[in-house]
Amino acid sequence: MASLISSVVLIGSTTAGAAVAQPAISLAGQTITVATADTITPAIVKAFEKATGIKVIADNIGWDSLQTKVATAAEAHTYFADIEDVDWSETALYYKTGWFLPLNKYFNVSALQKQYPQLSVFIDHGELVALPQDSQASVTTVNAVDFKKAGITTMPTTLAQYTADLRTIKAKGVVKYPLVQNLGAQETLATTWWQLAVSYGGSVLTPSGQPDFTSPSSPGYKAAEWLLDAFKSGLISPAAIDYAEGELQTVMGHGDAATSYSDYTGVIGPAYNVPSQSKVVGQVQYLQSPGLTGPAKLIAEPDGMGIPAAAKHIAAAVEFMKWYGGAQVQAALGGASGTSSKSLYIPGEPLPPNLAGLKALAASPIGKVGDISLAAQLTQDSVPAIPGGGQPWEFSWSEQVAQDLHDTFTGEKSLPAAILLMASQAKSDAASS
Amino acid sequence: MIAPLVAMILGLAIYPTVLTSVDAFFGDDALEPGRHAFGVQNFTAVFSNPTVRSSMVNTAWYVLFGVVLTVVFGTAIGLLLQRPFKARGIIVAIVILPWALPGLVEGIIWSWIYDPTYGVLNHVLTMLGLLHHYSVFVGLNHIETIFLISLVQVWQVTPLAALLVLASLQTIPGDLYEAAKVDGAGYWRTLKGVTLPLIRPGLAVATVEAIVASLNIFDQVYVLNSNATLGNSLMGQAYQLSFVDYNFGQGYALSLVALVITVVMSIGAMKLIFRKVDY
Repeated sequence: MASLISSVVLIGSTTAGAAVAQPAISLAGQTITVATADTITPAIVKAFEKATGIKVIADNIGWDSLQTKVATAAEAHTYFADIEDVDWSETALYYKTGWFLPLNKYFNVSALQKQYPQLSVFIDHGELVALPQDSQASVTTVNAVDFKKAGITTMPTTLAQYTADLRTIKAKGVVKYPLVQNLGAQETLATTWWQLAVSYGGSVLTPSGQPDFTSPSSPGYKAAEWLLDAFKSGLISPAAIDYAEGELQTVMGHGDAATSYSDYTGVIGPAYNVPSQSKVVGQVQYLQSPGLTGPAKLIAEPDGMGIPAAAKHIAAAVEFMKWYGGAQVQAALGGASGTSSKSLYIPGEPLPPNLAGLKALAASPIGKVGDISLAAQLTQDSVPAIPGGGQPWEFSWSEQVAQDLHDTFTGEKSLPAAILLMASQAKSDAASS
Repeated sequence: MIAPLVAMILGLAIYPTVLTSVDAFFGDDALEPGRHAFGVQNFTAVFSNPTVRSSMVNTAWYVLFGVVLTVVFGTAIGLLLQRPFKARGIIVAIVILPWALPGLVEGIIWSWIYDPTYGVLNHVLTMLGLLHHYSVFVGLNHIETIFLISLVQVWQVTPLAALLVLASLQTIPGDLYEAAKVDGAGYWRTLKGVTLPLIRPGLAVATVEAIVASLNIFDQVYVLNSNATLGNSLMGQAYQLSFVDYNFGQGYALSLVALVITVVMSIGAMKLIFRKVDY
């Protein structure tokens, strides 16, 4: 009965519900385990259980640990959860390994494509590997007060202007290190480089997975060069080579930097506008990342929800994904229906993955704060990091990229040497996949 | 009576070890599904990987720092705790705390100590006038990075070493110290001639424990230095191969190499240090 009621509710009110087939069997009483990147709070579990009768065990663990568990379970062909995290960089890998079930059977992909701006990130060879759980894109954030103090009244739209502004801010002593980027050997560094390459008008890999950054005139090479120059010229703090995950936001939140070229959409509300943890409340705003000749396209970096091959309750898992993707639920996760512990609000939750959810959140009182409308617009316009789809070795290679690029900042490797290694690894990965 | 214990050891230690060892000889790559021919190709690939080789050198440094510092500090703390004093029980409980913490948590605690922007160490050193400006401690200099990460692990492992030494110290009969005193031996001579030779069983176990911990260092490196080649360890590379490259066969091979090195070094340390003590 509960399932039937939920189906009726879903058809009437949700975004995902309009695009999917409804289950024919009663799922009430089944128990599913959900292990995703975004936290599944007790309030979410309670609301879903109330709506569908399906029980949920929320396995909220750290992202790194989650990836290890997903891989271990898949490799051992054992059950870990019914819904698991799918990172944007792992779509092609999961397609190739068959670790996750193709979702085309359960969702109307062409209908979803109209509603989920970043859906293509999770499609490989026409198969939907995951449904976006959130929508994230790499975006520039600026402390408008710092820019104003430096006498900058017009926000930069090109990389040349952005660089000039950074130098002005430093020269005027507004902050010692105007630009904050994480230069540790972490995936964040690789994605910053990927975004910069897009901003320079290209990409780091061709659609067939060949390196497209070895020529000094290529966008990828220029991107790495720009970052290294910014570091060497003191626009970025030397400490950036040893930043922990999330320290970029700490530095920005402390007012110790004026801008981050590659931050996240959705970050302002939960990170910079919370008085208890930020000294720059109301000062930070999104800026469409400056590019070579004008504002650049942003690369999409969402987390998704997929159903592993060893899942026990597939229909119930699909039901959860439909419910979770609903516009009202998505807006509520972002705080549109309040931010108390009893609400569905997830502190720090990235933006909703679908247009209806984004629209509902942007229209809510919380949506008026923190530039959510702008972030939503930028997210909608975001593009996959690799044109034409990812590569199965993308995740592994980006770790190698982070390692090699990091070594250029510590002086362990020269930029040409790092570029050579990164290219050689990409060629070798492409040849063997 | 011991059946549950045997079952547990067989199921949780022996079975996975055998499975890993066998799979290390097959090319188990998630991106190239299917069982591959039996052979040493995984070992060849692992040893020809420059990142793995540099992680082996790093691990040698971790073992050197880790074993020396753990045994020295563990012995020193054991000797300090040997003498009865007020609140000794409480002090012992506090000393053992770091051992009870997971390596990951310790890494996080120390990342805020070493942090180049807001770290406690920078704050203290600049306050004392020993530094003029905040510095980057981890991630710039090879040996300094390894030493500082080693310290975190030493901080974790030393309490157990101290307890092992303390247990050995408490088995030494008091009349041996009295005899040494009668013979005119001072503190250092007694330490060298009586104490250290008689705590060799405890020192041997503490050394083995330090070897095992240092050779398998991972959490602290991962938190403090991410995946940077500068401080990457053998286990870090095994993780990288298995869970980033999804080349489980190579990950198993490297784990097996680490296991063999651990066993060989542990046996060597026992043979070198352990002496049976009869009173």
